[in-house]
Amino acid sequence: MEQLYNSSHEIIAKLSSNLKENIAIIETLFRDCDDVVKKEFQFIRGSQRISAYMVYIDGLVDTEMIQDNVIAPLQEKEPVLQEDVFASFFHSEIDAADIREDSNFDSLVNSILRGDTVLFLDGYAKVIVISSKKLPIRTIQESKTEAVMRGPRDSFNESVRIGTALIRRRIKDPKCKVVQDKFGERSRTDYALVYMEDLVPDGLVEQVKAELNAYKTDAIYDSGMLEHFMNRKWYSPFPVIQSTERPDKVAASVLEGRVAIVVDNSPEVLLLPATFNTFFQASDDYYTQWSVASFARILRYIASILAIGLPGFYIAITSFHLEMLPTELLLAIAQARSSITFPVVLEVLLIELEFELLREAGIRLPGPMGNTIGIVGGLIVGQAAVEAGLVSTIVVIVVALAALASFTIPNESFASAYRLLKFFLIALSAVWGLYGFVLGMLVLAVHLSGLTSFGVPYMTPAVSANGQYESIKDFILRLPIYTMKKRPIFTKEGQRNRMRRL
Amino acid sequence: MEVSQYRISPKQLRRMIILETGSIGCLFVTLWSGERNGILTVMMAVIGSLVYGGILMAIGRADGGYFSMTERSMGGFLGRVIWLIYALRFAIRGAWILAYAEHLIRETLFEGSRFMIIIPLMLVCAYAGLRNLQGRARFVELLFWWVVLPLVLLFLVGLWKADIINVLPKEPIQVRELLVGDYRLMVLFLPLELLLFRMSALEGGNQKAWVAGMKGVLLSGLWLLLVYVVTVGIVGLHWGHRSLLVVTDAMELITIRGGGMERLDILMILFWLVGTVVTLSAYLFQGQQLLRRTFPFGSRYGVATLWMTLAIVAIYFSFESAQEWTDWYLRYACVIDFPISIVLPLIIWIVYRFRSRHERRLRQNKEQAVKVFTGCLLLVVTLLGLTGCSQQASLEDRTYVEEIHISPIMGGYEYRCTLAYMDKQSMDTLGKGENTGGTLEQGSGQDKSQSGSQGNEQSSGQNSAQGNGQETTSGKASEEYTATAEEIDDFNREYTRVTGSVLDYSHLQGIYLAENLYQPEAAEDVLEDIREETQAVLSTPIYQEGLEIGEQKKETLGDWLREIQ
Repeated sequence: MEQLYNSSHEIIAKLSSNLKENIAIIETLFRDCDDVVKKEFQFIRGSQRISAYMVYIDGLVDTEMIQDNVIAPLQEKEPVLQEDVFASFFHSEIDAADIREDSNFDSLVNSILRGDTVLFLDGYAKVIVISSKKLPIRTIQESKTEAVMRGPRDSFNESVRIGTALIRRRIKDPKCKVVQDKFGERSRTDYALVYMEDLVPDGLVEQVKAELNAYKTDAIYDSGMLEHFMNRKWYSPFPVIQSTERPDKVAASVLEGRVAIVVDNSPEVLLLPATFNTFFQASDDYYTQWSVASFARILRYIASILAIGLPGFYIAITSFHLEMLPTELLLAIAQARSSITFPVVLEVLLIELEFELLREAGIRLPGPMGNTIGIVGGLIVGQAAVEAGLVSTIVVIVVALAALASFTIPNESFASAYRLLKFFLIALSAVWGLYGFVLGMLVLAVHLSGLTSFGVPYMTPAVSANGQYESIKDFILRLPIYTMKKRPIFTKEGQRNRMRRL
Repeated sequence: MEVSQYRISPKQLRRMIILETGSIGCLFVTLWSGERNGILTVMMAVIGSLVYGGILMAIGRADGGYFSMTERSMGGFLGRVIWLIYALRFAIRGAWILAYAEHLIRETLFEGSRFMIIIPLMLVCAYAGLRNLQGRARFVELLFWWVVLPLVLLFLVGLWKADIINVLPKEPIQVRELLVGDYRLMVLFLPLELLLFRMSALEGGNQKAWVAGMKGVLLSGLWLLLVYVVTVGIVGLHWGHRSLLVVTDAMELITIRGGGMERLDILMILFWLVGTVVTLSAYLFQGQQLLRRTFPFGSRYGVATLWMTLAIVAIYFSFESAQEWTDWYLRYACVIDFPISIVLPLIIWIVYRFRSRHERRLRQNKEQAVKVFTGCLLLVVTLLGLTGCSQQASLEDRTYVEEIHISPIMGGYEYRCTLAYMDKQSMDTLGKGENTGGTLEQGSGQDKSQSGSQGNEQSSGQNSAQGNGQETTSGKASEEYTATAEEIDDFNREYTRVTGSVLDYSHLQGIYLAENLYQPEAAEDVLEDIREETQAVLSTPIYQEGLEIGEQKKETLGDWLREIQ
């Protein structure tokens, strides 16, 4: 069987005009594949007896459609007398809107594997490919990870086609391009690049394609894997590509000149370039009053600082800089800690560990049980730990506040970076106090200022990109929509105006 | 949209100038300005800095930039020598900043060993220096408001406390002293020399570049002026020109009521530390760039940064203390560094007008061994730094002194401390009363415990029989500890020896002096001793023993120390 493939797992066999030879190859290729339906039959056209061979995968195709629109017409229709039987079948006898001919074995096998039906005819070195997909997919549901108070409820599912359709539904403009390709030599996972032809910066689409073509791998199962292939800064915990389940967010991003990557089998669509600020933007920010949205933004930014720094800061203050605390608070902490055996840092780590365990357990356990674990952990285990003298009440408050703050960040992978770096700051604060804490924050600042996402500085608009600060109106404050007359930095230069007053 | 890695915007340049020049410069502006002419000296220096900055900007902007101009006019070898000279000078400045930062950190934030302080600091600076110019500009831009906003606000608040008489020049004005002070202050603007290497990377036209550059220089000058006025206005002329940490001392005296923090100045010092890292990493970054041009290992950022870091650390060890470093650096900067900073570019510019040479590119060296060496070295120094956990203090193992009463006796002082606890229950748990039942007399080496002071709530000696172990109406409890000692340090040590706990003066609410001690001259020794050994905050009130609250004067430790100075 090896001779059928080249080193890139592409089928190198040639289509033959002899049906028997084609059948032999198909039989070899799909040996021990019981889900593949292979059917040989004959039609009579005038004096001709025509042998045909149909192949599809059971479960991926709409068998009723095959029966009603392909087999039945071929058997029942009055034959159109044409010399070329293939042309007759292709143009007039098969009742399907989406059919095409193919003469490449690799391509037609790929079509079969994606849910198309292929019809071989004797005497022709080409086949008819009938689009008959009926993939087992989830219906469109509400996003669980990016829920909103106000705004559309639909979210992407695992179908690339439904994904692109949900975007198309929001951008009815032919300049919105959908370029499809495959990734993974064996999985051949479909993905689609969606972008606005006139808004995307020059070279960005080519850069994305080049990044995607830089690797060959067996398979990808989710857009997260594709994201990792495109991320050159492997050592950074901060994601430089945004992911979302929300079609409205993707449509808005595409209209700002960004590129969306819809990946088959994944409900998360990738958006790039991404900046620090885009991870703080939630969909409903744009559907509510600007003042309310701005308040929420400020809250999220403060929460991000608490999530990353509060435990470390607490350790630094209580272990090294007692003089900073108000006297009453200091005495209260001293009293609370009077029965605690462990040093502050161990105390914090202990309760942090408990929170992380609860979080992990809450995800893995079935829904109702997960919720229960959260309550049991938060209330009972925390209380028990305090009563047992393992931790003090104030540490529980500090750690709980930091955990709560991390959940206000709208993007999970971004929030995870905060959770991870929190431990980095805890370690530095435990060794060097506030000095270490500040040095840790400086390391983060250096790291973040050096990051770019497809050429755009990650910290835009806190730092300028080419001297421009245009996204500032959608930064810590979300100003009224009518003031955001310009598209952000992602958009091609010369195409930044998006609004005019009539 | 691809952003150029080697271009910076005028706004970024302006912020770099302000942070790099202002953050270190303002710490020395009072120290080097000369006592008599006050604000006049600083104002002249600001004007001088505009001229100095203008010359450097003009040379840096000319004909493809300073790098190109130097290499074309001086040729390959001489060009390299010049870069090496620059790198060495930047390393010396870096070492001086490192010495000062180490001193500042040790005095205010972290009392560890030298290594414990400089290793993490240099690692962070090296990481910050390991950028391209655009990355560095973004780094400074990101930190700009974090540093500038709190410090400017604090010093604006401090203006209310400043006595403007202190900063006015004293008649008659001595021209020589004025010029000397002015020249010394120009040394603070030496970071402007970095403009030579940046002007060619600036986006936009010449006019924008000039406006941004001059604005940056002017704003950093005005910042120095503000710091000078507030610092000298608060601490006075004499103190302002003696202490190496005079600016942070002044910050300590700027207290804001109703805040959630007892010591706001610590936070401000943290912001200052950020500014210090920005300046130090600027020299490291520029030195790294110069070394890459000088030596064949050329394009390796990491290796050049490592060499520059090692050079700074090696030079830093030339002197033992920050004071020695500062004294030497001032002489060196006035005699050598500052003149070179202006003469060398001028010579290059003049030579460039007559000569032109082909540019030479430097080769690359990507030896694996160097990378491995770098990695190992970083690992070792990082591990060295981890020994700092021993510096931690457990807050429950300390006893917090709320008040200290001092009376002179023969051969020393009697110290009586009021120790604060959350409530009576807390005092029972944490209090040391049962262990400290007696008066400790310094010098005898023996506990002369008296039997009448047993029980958990009483730790009294002969003078503390009344009011010990009481619970106040607010629920807070206190006990007293009395002992005689020659110095406060002996008193503290004795307390620790007997109780195992450490006296903590970070929350001292008042110093009560006996009537015959309630004069700055009489209390000079004991107050300086307290400040030195306990790090008591300068805004701590000083009261006279025996007077009612309404009769007390509003004096603080800082006021008295200023008077003593």
